[in-house]
Amino acid sequence: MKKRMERLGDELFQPLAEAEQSRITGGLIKNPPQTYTAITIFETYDPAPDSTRDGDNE
Amino acid sequence: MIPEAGGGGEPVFALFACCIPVKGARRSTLCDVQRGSFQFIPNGLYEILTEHAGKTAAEIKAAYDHEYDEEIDEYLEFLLRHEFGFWCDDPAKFPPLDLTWEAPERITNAILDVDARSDHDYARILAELDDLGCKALEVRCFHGCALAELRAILEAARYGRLRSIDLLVGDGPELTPEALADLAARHGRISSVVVHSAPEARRLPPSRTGVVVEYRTERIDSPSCCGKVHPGYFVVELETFAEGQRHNTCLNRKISVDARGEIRNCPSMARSFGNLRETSLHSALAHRDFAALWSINKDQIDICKDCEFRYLCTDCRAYLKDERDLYSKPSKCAYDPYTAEWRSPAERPAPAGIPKGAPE
Repeated sequence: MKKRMERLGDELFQPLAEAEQSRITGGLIKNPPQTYTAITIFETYDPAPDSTRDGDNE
Repeated sequence: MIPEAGGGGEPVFALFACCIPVKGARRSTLCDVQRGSFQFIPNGLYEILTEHAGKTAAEIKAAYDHEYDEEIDEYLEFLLRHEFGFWCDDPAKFPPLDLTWEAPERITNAILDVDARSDHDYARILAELDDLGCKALEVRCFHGCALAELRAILEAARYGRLRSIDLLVGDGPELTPEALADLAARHGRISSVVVHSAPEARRLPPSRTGVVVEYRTERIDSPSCCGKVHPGYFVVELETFAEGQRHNTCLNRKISVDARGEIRNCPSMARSFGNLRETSLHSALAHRDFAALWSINKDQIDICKDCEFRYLCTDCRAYLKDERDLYSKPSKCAYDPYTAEWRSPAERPAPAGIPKGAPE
């Protein structure tokens, strides 16, 4: 069956807001809930990595 | 720009291989596993991208009797604007990604729980994990942790094969930002440090090592704090996406040791495969039932199989909506794919009230 073509401008298709991507952490706190934005660490986070250091041999 | 209808050589729209549409009951996602992002798209666009793949714009419009020409133009412009695809003459030259997932390691990830009464032999545990090929370890200390204890764990991992260690530790007087930054600098395998039960929430700026140290006020004092499903925990990358096609994105190739030394699939699971005092991780892994849950994928789980997030979601098989049904939705997931709405757990509809079909 062919789908009805919905418009992309519909609220349903908007990217998640930052608040929606924040996670509620810890199950035990009741009042008030704390929210945190998800952490994303990219390998390229540091544009100038110190490649002379070796965590294994320090 | 949408190419003008021309002669025989009219181009067709092709998605980049790393941009993969996933159909949900109410809406779909277009997951860019290379850039680590996703966009919501209508199910109509999903249909165009899958059932009408390889067709020209004119052919797609004709397939819908020109009823949706404007919407189809909007869709194609959206895809181009967000760099999800491109016009090409020969889409066969751009095959889809092979989503077969394989890993040489017998165990890829592990959880080690620690509390004030734990008596773990860290050297032995880390050596066994190393032997199994484990790449990632999460250490969860439910009590206020001393630096010496953390150092003992990290020293045991110093010369192993682990690539990342995530620390979740209870606040203690020694766990100052400086001390944790120093710890991260000395142990390059540390990926993140989260201090729970802290008096105030704060996140320290990433240090040169890239390690994020975060203090949280929540008290995380047992495995029952785990299992939440939320966009903040979604993982949008190729390995998880591929693994999720056939495997459980939480339990696959995972082994856990709880605070008492019981070996489980995850510390929240009821079943123990022996205690470390008498059983090795190898022996537990060799048990015929140990890997039984590894292959429960999202396409098999009730409700999740209709969810557009199913290959990004990390799932939970410990806390289920129906405890008797291993294929039941995670109880701590408040998303309803049939309405595309997040509900607080208290508002979650009863199982009988959830429609099974996709409302169109």
